[in-house]
Amino acid sequence: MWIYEKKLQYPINIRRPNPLYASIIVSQLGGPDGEMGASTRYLNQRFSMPYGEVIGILTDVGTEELAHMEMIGTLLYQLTKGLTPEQVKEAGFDKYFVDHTTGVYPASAAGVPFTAAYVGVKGDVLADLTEDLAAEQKARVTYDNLLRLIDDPDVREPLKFLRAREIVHFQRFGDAMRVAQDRLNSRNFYAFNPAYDGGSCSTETPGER
Amino acid sequence: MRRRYADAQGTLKTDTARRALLDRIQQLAFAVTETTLYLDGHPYNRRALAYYGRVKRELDEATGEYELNYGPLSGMSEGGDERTGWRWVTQAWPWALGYPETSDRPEWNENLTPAAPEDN
Repeated sequence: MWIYEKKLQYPINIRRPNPLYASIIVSQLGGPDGEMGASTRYLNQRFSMPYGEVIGILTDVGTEELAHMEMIGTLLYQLTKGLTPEQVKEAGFDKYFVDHTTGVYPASAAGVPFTAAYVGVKGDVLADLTEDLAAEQKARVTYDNLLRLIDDPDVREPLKFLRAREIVHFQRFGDAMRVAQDRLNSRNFYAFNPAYDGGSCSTETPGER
Repeated sequence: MRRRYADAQGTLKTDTARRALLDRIQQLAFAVTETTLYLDGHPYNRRALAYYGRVKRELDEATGEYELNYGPLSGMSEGGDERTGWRWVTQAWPWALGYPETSDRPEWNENLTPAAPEDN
């Protein structure tokens, strides 16, 4: 189970609200490569994962992603604080505002609501870990793109922190992949799924044994 | 220390003291959770505050006893060293059948007694 701690992972203090920034940063909450999908993906992949080290990495990265959801929510809250209707319209924030006011709603920058289709859980060790490695790179690219569009250092610093964490998580999932491959049969990594077929390796094609 | 063993008939036995202590921790943690929810809506309720103080203290004591004897319940309370290794990942996870003493995953049972650390 989980215990909440009343602190952000990295401090956020935005002095200049900016609804345009909010309307693009929201993608890192509820977009295709956002923190909500990341935490849900990793925490759900744990159950079928047969290796303790990999479960530890999924648990601890997935937990950190929950803290990143909170950081994105904090960015959205501070960027939309005290807006007048005129400021909402000028920044093009009106399309979000009409449905959610200045509440924090998980959707992509284009307004597509969060969907579990962003969460890859295949129940296969190599498929899931490869998904996770790609997911961290895609999230890193999204932070890269946000940093191309955002000038305010108050907003950039937490985004740079989050970008760096994606790179660290990619490296840790690389550790997870090494742990998994070390336990597979070197003749053919893809001959069986240790999450389903148990600990023994057959070189036969699945379903034909 | 290995807490799981087979009797003369080969039946798997488990450490009931460990299970009983975890049962108690789960009950106390539930009492803390439930009281937390109540206090969120009644932040100055004297009876609830006193009850919270009592069950939280009992929870902390039981958790301390468990972690001292069996291993960490949280990554943040892992006190492993080079003898025990990082038990956070070498011990079973809570969705396994038979948790916490045994596991339906044989590789986790083998890890009940952590191996000596290798080169790294």
